[in-house]
Amino acid sequence: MKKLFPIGAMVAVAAAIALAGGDKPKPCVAFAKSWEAACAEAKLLCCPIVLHSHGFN
Amino acid sequence: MHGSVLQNKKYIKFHDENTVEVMSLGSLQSGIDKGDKRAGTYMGKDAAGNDVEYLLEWPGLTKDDIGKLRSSPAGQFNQTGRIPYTSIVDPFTGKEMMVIKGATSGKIMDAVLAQKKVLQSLHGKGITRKDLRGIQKGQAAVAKAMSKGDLKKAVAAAKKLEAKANKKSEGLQAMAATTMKTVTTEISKQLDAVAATLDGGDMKAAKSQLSKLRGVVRGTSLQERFDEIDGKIKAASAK
Repeated sequence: MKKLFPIGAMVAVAAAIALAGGDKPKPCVAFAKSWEAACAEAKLLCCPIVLHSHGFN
Repeated sequence: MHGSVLQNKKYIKFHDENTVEVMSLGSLQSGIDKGDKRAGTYMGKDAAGNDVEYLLEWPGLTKDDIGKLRSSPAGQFNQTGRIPYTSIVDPFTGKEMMVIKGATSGKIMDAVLAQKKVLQSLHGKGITRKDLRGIQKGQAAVAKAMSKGDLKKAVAAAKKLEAKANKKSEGLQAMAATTMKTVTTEISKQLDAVAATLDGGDMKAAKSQLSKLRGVVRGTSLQERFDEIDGKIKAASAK
């Protein structure tokens, strides 16, 4: 709980991003910025974390 | 897989209400080196208004974020050597609740709902993301006022946040209380500085510093401390 103030600025940022020009991303889920932020937010919402492991082949 | 789940309209709506999404992306540098279009970027702004280069396929995440996530516990779950790999993690224990093979958006949604039920049976209902966003907006207002040194405005924003949270859950009340604590800690530091000035014998400067905090402390837990210092200044003035 003590770190909630900075967490508020870190999580679910995708919705808050204002584009500054150039290519635009497609609508997408909002990703947590860090593992710690993900855990803190998921605890508050009492919901699971969905972990996606992807990569470049 | 990426488009059919993470960019799926139905899943985007579902995740907003039911999950926190974490990406563990490997070999990004290799993708960049090969000129893979999935490693492309766009310019956006962060919450503080700074220009930031984000990844097109993973909006809101920078190359640096991806690297840090990869070396965090998020990068440790997939021990199969195969991608894509999707699993559901318990945020309270940090352990996998289940691995979803051949993950489609439908399979993930079914699994999430089942595991969410398990979490809520153990930890209670939690708050809604709508409420969380409301609190985050209030926190941003407090942070903005503090960054400008406007403590009076920061106190007002923190009080507004507390009033809003008091109508909601304990989790939100704790967040609002933490925010107020951030503000009162700063005010407390300034009161300490006034007291130090007074102890140093510069009563005029102490009086001037304290007068700037009069409207700030009103209605906060620091009113008593303010009155105590004010009393000392008045007593010293009377001598």
